[in-house]
Amino acid sequence: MKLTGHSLSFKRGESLIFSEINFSINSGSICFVKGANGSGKSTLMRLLVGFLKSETGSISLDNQDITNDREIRAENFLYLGHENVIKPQLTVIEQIFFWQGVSQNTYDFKSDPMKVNSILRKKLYQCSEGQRRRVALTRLSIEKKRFWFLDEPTASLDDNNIQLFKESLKNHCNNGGSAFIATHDNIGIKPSFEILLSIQKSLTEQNDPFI
Amino acid sequence: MKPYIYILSHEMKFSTNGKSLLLSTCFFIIIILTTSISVSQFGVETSATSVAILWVALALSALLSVKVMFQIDFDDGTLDWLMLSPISLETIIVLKAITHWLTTCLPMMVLTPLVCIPLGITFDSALWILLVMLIGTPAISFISTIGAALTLGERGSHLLLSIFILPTFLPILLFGIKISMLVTNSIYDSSAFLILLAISLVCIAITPFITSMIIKVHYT
Repeated sequence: MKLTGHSLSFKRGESLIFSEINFSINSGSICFVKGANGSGKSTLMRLLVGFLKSETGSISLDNQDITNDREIRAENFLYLGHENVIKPQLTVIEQIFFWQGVSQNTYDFKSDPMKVNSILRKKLYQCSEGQRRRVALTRLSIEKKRFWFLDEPTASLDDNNIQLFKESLKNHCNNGGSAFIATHDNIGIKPSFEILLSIQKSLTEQNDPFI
Repeated sequence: MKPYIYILSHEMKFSTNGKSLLLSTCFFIIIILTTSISVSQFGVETSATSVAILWVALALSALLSVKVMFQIDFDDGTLDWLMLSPISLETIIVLKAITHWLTTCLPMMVLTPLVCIPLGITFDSALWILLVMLIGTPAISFISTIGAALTLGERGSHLLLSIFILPTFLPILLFGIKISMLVTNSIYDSSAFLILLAISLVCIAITPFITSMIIKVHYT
């Protein structure tokens, strides 16, 4: 499967966040979205999964336009943003069972890719930030989706856990999946595509050109 | 069918644990007690005022738990996740409204025969009023989803939400109070029943689409 973006741009109010974003991602490859704080990495991720509408351009999957197709996106896309999508009152296992129930898939507790077996009975509000992120990342293997859109997935993970995440990512790519990752550091992965965002200056804010 | 049950039970868990259930039912009883005591000192208490007190108290207490309908899910990213789940947003809204009805309106309806005692309504009339409430309250829960969606992301917008939503309850309140008043006087007007039922059904049918549109606009 091939995901293509064609001259995507996004405006918030009058100011242009980014423009002319083009990419083409094949099965099994990884795309990094990079840029300084405030350059629109998260905005681009939310735009790609369809939470935001692009000003121009289109997104297509295997030459089929899916810019406004919620169903195909829901079938293929997984989005993990800054929030962990967890309810602190629940125990880890309750949270995982809920995700399993709604997506009608199962987490492989035997191989346990995110090493959550030791904290299953713990309430999520008692977990550390890193443990919560790990629980959030179990969704990657629960929902069997082709395209991952991960916004700083390794935030608050230590080196060991970053390794776990990389293992998952490797498995995913070997099975024909792809991933978009907004990140600041390379976490030792070589992406096959990189989208670089720079902070765009709106023309109205620019100083007098004659000075 | 299964994913819906998971979401519903998940929603129920969060709406029933904690204090919100206790809070809205206590609020309901307290409004009724204070207003009925305040009115009774003038000796003008009629079945009409007591029925009106009952319905207004119900509407006000139902508003208490509206704000949390989408706000928590919005804050912790669950709403993002649900938008990319195989379940449509409209279905999720229906499930939220059902949860609101089960955890807010239903407990108050269970208490209604009890609070009818200080209001001076007979037990037989109370059962009839209960039937009228059963028809009218689903509309309250479904309309509330619109308010919850409109005030999404606004901090401290409880009051704003009440100002938005309470006037829209008026048709249900007017018909509900009128029919309830008639049944306490042993007049059974089926056409008024049917109009209330129609209002309720129309609300159930169209509000999920309106609410989902508001949430989508909120996102984009």
